[in-house]
Amino acid sequence: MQKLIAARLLRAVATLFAVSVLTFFMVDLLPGDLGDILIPAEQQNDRAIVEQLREELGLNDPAFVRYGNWLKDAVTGDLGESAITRQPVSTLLSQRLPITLQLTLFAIGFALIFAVPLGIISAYRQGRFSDRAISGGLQLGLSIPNFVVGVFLIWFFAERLGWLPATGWTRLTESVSGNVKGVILPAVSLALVDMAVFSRLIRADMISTLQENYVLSAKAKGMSDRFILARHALRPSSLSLITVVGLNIGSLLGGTVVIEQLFAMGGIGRALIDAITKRDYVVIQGLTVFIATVYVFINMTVDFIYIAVDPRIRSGRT
Amino acid sequence: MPDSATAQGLRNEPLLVVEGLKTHFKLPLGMVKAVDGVDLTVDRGRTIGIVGESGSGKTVLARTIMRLNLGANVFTEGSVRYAGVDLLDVPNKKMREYWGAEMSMVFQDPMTSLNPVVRIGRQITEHLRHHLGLSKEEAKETALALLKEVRIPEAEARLSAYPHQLSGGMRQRVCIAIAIACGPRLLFADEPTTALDVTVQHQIMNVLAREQRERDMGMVLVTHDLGVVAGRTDDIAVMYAGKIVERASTKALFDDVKHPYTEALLRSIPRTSHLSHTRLAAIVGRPPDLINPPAGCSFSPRCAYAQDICFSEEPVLQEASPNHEFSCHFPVGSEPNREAFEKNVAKAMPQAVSIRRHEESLAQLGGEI
Repeated sequence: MQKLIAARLLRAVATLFAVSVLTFFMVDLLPGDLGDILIPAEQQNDRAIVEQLREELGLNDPAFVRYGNWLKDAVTGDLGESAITRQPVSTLLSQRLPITLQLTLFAIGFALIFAVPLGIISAYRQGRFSDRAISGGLQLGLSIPNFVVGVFLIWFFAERLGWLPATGWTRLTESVSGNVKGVILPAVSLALVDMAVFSRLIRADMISTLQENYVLSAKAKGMSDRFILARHALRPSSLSLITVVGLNIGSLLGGTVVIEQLFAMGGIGRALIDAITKRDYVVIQGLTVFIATVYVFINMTVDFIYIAVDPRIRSGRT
Repeated sequence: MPDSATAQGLRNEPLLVVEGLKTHFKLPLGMVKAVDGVDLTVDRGRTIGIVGESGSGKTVLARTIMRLNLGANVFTEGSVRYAGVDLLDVPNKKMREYWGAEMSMVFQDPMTSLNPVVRIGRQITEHLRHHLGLSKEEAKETALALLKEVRIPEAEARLSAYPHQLSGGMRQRVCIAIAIACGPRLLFADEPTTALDVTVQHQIMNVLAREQRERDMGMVLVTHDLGVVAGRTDDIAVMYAGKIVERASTKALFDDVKHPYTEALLRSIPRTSHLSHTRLAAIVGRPPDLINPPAGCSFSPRCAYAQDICFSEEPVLQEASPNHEFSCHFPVGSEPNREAFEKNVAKAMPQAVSIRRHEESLAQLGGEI
């Protein structure tokens, strides 16, 4: 067990190292560098100014030296600072992350709360009316782009009913209700697609679990269907769901550009798009590595949840 | 039915009376007649063996009696009276009061019939608590006693183990403990030893037999192996193509086989008394198509004694002696049977020739020691 955890941790560190090398050199391969951004256009022809700045910023050093310098700072949490705003990347992250994090957790939460029961009912009533109705409804949810849902929700709940704010994000420390209200509409817009995907996963796994002999033996013991579904069939049916939930948390944390834009919330996604359009190399590098770290961390967590859910994995069997 | 009448029924009737039971599955290709008119009686405290090849309908029969055939494509006919109640009329929800409490089943494969992600302890206690209303502590005590009863070492530790941490034999013991936990009066054991090592098979059969005796349960033992049931059943019913083709007390059956299929099953058991390299007397052919069963006797295409009448006229169950029934036009041991066999050998009918070769091979190698 400890060995397993140690191995996973080691793998995570190795992955992060590889990601940081790759992103660093890929960003490095982009045409142009900080010199092009920092020096006004009219001075670009003045070689002396350009050279002086490049020397100051260390841009003339070989790439691996620059990577080494970056890595040395990065492991202490210093991801460098924006060449344009002079704002440290870590400060940017600490401002933007809460928004994205909250949006992600709410979206995944909404999706799961509805998807799991719907998926179970669908599997239990496979082929019957309720299954077809649920599957049809979810198919619809799956095929509408999230920004269309977002626009509709704004129109209905913010414009017509005026229950919830159309845009903006309030800090939790300012107002709890304001904070929650602000996040509901964007989170629901994001949740709809995930809900459909999650529910289909649960349904498919559940249908195959319900064919298992141990489900029949539980029935032969006189346990109720509800008990069998919840206490015997759900856990073995949730492994693919856990994987996909992990991946989706990762991609939501990596930014949900369209929805953040629509609801005027400055999350990670907006920050990354801004950095790319302004060719703010340090910020691009920092955010990319951060997003990669989140992915690696979530995948690791998923592995550990696997172990908790299926005891056979603990002893190296599947 | 009022309670007094039920009690009356209990005293006068056998534990289980199955009459004219049919179970048909509707498939796109047609109706599969898995069980096709079976009568069966199980008395309190007695063990009946149901024997037949894979596909003879014996598992479906057991599951139909317990009402465990799932699916909308199953059609059942006849009656299954358990303690005076026709189970086929009992609504689904109500069946839960029977399952586990009145009747239970030990399944074929202990590797898959325990939930891999649920601890052994909960799998034994959950229906104890449900049926008998035991507290968590009481249920745990009972589970512990049950595990000891089925001879599981370190029972206490096993309660918190997961199924994959136990060997196949241990898992089947756990399954037996689960099945007997709530004190059912009728126990089905569906090929309980087929998935296990030969050495373990014997132990598991001993556990089952002891529990059956001590708890005075009626037991239905389903198996394809006549060797398994030999010393352990009071009666045996041999099934072929969804029908019972021979039924007798165990002793009568082994002493005086009547049906060619029973004979073939017995002959196909390899014996240590045979010299090595003795031909194994496998039954020629495959179990019949249950959608379009052969005309006449369903065993006729594989029977070494089959004559014209066997392909056109279905034999009915007839008595050889009280409590010994069979359905065959040319019962084993009779003069017509011997004549039919010689005719078929002369016609070079493969199944007859194969038996002749088996006999010759026994004779050549010195026969039985």
